[in-house]
Amino acid sequence: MSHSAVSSVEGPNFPKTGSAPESLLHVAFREERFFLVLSIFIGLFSGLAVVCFRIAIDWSRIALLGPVPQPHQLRLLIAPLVVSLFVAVLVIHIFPAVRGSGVNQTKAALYIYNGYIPFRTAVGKFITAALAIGAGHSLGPEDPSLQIGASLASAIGRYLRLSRERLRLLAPVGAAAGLAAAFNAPISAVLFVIEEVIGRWSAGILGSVVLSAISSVVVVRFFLGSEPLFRIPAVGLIRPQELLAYAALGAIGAFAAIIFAKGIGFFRSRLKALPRWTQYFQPAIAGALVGFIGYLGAPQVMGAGYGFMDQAMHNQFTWKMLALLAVMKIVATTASFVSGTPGGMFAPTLFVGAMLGGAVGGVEHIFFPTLTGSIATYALVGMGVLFAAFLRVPMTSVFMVLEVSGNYSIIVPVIVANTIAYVISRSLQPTPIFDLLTRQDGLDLPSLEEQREESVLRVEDAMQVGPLPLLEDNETVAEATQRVQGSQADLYLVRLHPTGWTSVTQELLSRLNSEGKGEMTLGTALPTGRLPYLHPDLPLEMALRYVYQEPIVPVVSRADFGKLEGVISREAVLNKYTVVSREPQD
Amino acid sequence: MDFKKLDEVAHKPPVVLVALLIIAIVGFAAVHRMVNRFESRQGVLAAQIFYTGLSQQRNRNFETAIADFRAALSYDPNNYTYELSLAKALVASEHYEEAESYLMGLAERAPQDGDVNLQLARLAGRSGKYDDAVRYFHRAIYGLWASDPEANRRRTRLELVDFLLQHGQKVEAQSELIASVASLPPDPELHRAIADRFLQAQDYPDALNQFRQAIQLDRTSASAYLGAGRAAYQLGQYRTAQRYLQTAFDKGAQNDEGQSMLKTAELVLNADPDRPDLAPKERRRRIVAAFQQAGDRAEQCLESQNVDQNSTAAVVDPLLELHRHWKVLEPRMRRDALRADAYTLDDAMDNAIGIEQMAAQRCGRPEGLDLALLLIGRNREGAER
Repeated sequence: MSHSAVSSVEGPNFPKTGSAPESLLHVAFREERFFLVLSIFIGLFSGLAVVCFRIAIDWSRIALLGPVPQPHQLRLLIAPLVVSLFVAVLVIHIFPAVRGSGVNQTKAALYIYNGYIPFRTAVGKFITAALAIGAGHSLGPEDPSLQIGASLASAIGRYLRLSRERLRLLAPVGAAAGLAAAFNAPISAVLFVIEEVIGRWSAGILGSVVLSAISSVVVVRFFLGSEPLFRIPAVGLIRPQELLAYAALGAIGAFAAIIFAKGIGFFRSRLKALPRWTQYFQPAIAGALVGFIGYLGAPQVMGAGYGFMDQAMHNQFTWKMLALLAVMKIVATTASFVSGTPGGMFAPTLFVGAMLGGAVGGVEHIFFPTLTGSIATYALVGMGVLFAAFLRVPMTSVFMVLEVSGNYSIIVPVIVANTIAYVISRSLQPTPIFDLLTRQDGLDLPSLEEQREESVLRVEDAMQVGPLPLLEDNETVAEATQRVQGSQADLYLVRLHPTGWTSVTQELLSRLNSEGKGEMTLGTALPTGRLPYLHPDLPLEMALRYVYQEPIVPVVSRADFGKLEGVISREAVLNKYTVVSREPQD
Repeated sequence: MDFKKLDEVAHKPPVVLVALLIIAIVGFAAVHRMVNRFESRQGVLAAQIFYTGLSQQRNRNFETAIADFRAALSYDPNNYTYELSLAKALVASEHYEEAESYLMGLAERAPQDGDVNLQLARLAGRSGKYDDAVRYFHRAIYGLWASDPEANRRRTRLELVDFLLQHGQKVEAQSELIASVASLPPDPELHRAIADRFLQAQDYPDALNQFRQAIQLDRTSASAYLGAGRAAYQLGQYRTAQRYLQTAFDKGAQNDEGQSMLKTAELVLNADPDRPDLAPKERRRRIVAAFQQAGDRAEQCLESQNVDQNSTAAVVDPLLELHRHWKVLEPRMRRDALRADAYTLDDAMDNAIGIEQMAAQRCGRPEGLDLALLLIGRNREGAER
């Protein structure tokens, strides 16, 4: 289905509310409810797809790298090289939309292509990512799962001929389902989709996103078991003084994340600028590099590496080995990712974080043997740190660690370290990695980080003092005329009892007097229409709805609607926007 | 056929939902079948790698075994046997933290598993968690075992006894040992092992009893005779001790402490004046010999302690007092000991034993005849009590 076709189709045959007596069927199939039910199905299908995807990765890994990959096995060199050539051909000729992680593509589908992601993308991502990760490319299955989920959701939505608006909403619903299934962590998946894919807080589809994420996780746990990704050793209560140690980890992690992000940004733009024929060989060269690292003695960096993260958490490596693995993984992932090989960055980010955390924890234990935090604690916090600093999803990073560890006693060090890492990373690398990739692809998509930095204009920013005197509805017309004499204003606000506001001009007052209504109260003499009113904290854009209908709109206190805080006019609103638009941008 | 109408019907929400439901059911069935096939293949692969790991473990190549067990677990993640083997290999290669993590996970899944609780008990004991260790040992003893539960429970209880003895908890160890003898099979080695621990727990009557049962089951066991002799010696049954110890050495036992005990037992038997079958003349001779030995011991001890033997202080040294009494008795014992009355002989023997006991407190453990006299004194006290 073409992009233009999507926008032209009609909506599905939903019963029209109020058109006929509502039967149970009618109630059940109202569009909103149908959308929720559909979200569950999207979750189920995404879960099934992710189960197959994980099995495909495992199968290809066994077939390509052998059941127990060990250093100095020749197949570690050959498999990534050969498979990458094949994957490159598939990507260039059959599945051009499957390059990279899939997060940006899903976001682009949401904001640019009205939720349209070809089903072929899901098939291509499935095949190429499974082969690439199975062959040892240092990439993860989570982001591809996200794209597969979104693609499935988009396909279902198109079949159902959903409206463009609904179709656009389906992409994040599928993305959350795919990610939740891959990560076995529904809360983190929902938060990530909000932070990174949707890019703004929107309660409208939150229910659907949560439903799809949970149903996909249920499917995955049904087939593959409910074990968490890692076996987390007991994490004890941490003394407040030890937070300094975690703060240090946050700072070190931030610098590692910056190097990681800058490396990807630097090499990706340069590789993209190379002639097109080089794209046939870029994945192969990256694969050869990763294979070489594995062949020389660090097969741990090949593939997603969850098993090795688990080992790192259980003191299986010295701090030197952990540090080496962190560095090697950054190198390997940078090579794999910038070459355009399909695969995600979630797992490598976690890997680097776990190894770096373990290494920093190990070194800190040497200098401060009384530290109570185990290596596992540092590794876990390290994962969150890299998530916050590299992927720049601070909320997801905290919940991801909690969900993966199932231990809330670790929350304070996680928040401390992640905040420090996030702040340092944001100040030294203003553009988050996903935004950087999007801009390299020539797109500009909204992000939650951008939104956080936006200063929202409010009614109080453009509010002015109201015209005096303020009239009451129990005043007579004659009294009011007398009070406004000598005043420069043309229009006066009248406070109605018990609530409400209206306005009156000098001209109207004069006319009422001349008509002999001088002894009538304003409440009875004035027309019955009431003015709309605003509150000072409302966004200024809300004022635009009213200022074109009324010359002035009263701004009243939320605690007492009869208390005038000021007034707002069309000129005041426009002046404010003009002033703001002329201010220098960061 | 009106395709437009058909298309309209096919897109009605109830029809779509039913279609999605059918697709989901079919998808579930297909994925279920695929996952089962994949898991069974992985299971075979895991088993192959696991057996390789076992052979590595038997050859004490623990690190290679661990790598194999890990690989096996990556293909069959919920396999209890693989996890337990990995945990044991981790313990053997001193990766205690990770081993504990695996074992805790297994204990959550099967809290009554005897083997898991035993491993946890060992880890807790190693890290100095006494209460946890005892709790896990008890869980292991009363837990479920895959094979030969009685033997495993008995072995675990003996390990618990050893653990308690290492921590000086002799009373608790005795309780566990008494519980363990309730249903012992006729195995001389088992009786001997338990008797040894009774001996360490200073429960000598039960130790002697178990050694005797071991001897009844295997009369060639030199170690059982040796143990029985040591238990009898500690009980003051010197004739029995001498008999068992002598038999043990005749059967080839080699034990310095046992040799020393045998010599002492023989000295006791030759020096004890209270043996019922002694002729009066022999009894007098033994008392005189004991008396003379005690006098020498007192003299040496007082000299080594630089005690002024002519002191007229109001508070007199107890050993000096005994020695002065010895000096009072000594002329009578030297001149006409053979005619001395029973009261004097008893007084002399009491004095000799008193000196030996006091000298043992002041000048250290005696040897030879002095030790024999000390032990005779203990037996006398025991008999009086």
